[in-house]
Amino acid sequence: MKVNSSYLGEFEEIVLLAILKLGDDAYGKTIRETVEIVGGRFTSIGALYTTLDRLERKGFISSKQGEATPERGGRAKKYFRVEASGERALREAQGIRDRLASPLKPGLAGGAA
Amino acid sequence: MSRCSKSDKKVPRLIYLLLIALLAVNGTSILVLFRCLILPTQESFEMDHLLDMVYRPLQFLVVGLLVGYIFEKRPSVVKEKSHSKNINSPPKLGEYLLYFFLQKTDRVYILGDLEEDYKEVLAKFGPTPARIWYYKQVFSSIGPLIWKRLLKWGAIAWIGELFRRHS
Repeated sequence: MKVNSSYLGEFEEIVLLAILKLGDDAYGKTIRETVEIVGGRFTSIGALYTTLDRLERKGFISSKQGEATPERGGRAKKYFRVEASGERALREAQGIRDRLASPLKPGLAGGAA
Repeated sequence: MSRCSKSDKKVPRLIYLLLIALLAVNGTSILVLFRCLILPTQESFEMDHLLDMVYRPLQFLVVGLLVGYIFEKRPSVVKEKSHSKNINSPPKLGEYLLYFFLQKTDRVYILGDLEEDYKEVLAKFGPTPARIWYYKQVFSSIGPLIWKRLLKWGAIAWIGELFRRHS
């Protein structure tokens, strides 16, 4: 089921970028690790899968079942891939951020009262 | 089959029961000593009552903790546990908790990811940190998983409401 929304939350954006960065090796464990290392924050597997599910319903990513390995207790992996609409949403979010950040000059970084 | 013979099991159990009795007597004697020596110096009845109220649960707590500790360290229990528990697999209680909150479709993938991670932490830091890590993941995952379900139910309710209004 697709949700008609192109809005991208902060965590959704990080997850999408992590999937793009990982390429063909993007599944739950590697995505969580990348988000933790690059994003520098603790990420629970539940929060990650909730976001992945939302992104999939929005049509930004697609998934396919992978192989089962003994170190996973014989359980299968679920690989994710960013779709064209996902890349488009990322570019849009980046554009909005750039446009909004343009008045932010280095001198104002400290925050004027 | 357990390697402990019947006589092996009997001796620690007897020691364990004796220790409980000793602790109970000791705890009571401390309470009596406390009431006889310290409380008479306190003139106010409120203070007496308050100290009694604080001391009694504390005594039970200390005795309970000691008994629990001794029970855990009993040779027969240690032996039985080492036979039954497999440290290479994630804690069963944690897995069950996730089973409770996960959707059927995600169950295999999430539990697989967690097991893979658990084994990595186990190899790097040992069984206790691995178990702590696993439970941290479980408890921090429950909130988002409940939220996800609520949102789904909310969406169903919203569709129902729309259908009711337009029919």
